Amino acid sequence: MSLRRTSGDNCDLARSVTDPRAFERVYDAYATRVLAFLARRTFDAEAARDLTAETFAQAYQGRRRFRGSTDDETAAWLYGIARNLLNRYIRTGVVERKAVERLGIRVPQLVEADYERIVQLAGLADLRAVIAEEFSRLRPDQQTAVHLRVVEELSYPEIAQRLAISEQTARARVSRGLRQLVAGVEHVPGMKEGLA
Amino acid sequence: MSAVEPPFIAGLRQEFERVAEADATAGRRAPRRTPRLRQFRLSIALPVLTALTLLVAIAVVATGAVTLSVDLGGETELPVSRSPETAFGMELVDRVAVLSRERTARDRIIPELMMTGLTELRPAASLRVFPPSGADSAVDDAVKMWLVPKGEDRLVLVTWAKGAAKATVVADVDRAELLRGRAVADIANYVLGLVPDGVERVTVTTRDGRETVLPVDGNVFAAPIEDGPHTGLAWEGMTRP
Repeated sequence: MSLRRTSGDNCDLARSVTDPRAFERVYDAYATRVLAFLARRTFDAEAARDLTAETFAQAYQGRRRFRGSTDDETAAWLYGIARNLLNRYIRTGVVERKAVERLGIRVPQLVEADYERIVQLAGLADLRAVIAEEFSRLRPDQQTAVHLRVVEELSYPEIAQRLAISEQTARARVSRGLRQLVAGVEHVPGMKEGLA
Repeated sequence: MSAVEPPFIAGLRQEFERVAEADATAGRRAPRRTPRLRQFRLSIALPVLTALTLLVAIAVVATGAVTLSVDLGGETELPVSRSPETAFGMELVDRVAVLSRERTARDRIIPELMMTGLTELRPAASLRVFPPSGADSAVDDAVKMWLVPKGEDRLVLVTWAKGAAKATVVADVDRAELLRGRAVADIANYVLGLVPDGVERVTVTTRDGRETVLPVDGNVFAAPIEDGPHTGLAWEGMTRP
């Protein structure tokens, strides 16, 4: 992997420690990419917007901790923050806003164009098509199990009862089905961006 | 990529621009201590301080500078202190410790002693000296009493006047006397006594023949009395001279 190396002084994130205005260039370079990264994983434009704002707010507040000197290291650091926030959001269902609030950032409301462009940016339409195609390739019993688990949000005991199978079998069908879907989705452009 | 940039991205940029501009104008650099680090420090400060305090306390006790324990089964070590109150408290706890399972004032004393750690030993509030029924005199809650075990077979009745440096032992009796009941009037202007478990009131007959009903609390009754030593004591139909 070749790093796009810049000199330490020319790395905008490092320079923003002493010159806060340099952070604007970091934002310009990465805001849309981070938004797309988050939108592809949350499937929620508002959550993606809030997570993006918090990601950059935390990056701004913690920029002294950044030890890198390249663009790739800047990207890795930003995506690291975004992933942490995303994981917390997935776990708790709540978007953290501490840094945004501390900095007094007023996160803009989304307008209709935002929703359209976020969907477009994240390639969600493409993603849906890919998922639909991959889903159709699953074995029928896996399709049913994944549908009951993901769409109807049934518990494994409920799935087992509905399909007259053991709970262990239900888990196996869902697990294998999802694994196959993920493998198919990984080919969608941009899905791997930000992955460690 | 910028062709599809959502409008809010530009709005958010203006917000960061504003914050960065304000920091640049004020000459502010990135904060040296990050919020996360501050949170971390706050989150560990209290447990660390608590742990250190406990360690110091354990070390002090271990080195013998202070000994403190209450063993309800028998042996008891008490804090070494020179104040009269605490010295008395030590003696008291020594006696309380041998009181096994009998329902006496112990039930109130022990939690109180344990809670106060002996250094602020206070009389049991429920063992106040009560006025005689119908008497005009006010409740004298300045004198508190305890019934305290002394060895295997004996009990002592102690009073502790408010503000007094030490308590006064007003009766030293055999446990068997508790079952029979006993009135003690050796303390000036008071009639004091012990009665068995379950007795709630006693009737004291004074020398002039007047009968006074007194409430019992924790096997103990007490009341100010002006007419000299009592001549009779009764409860539940029993009479004791």
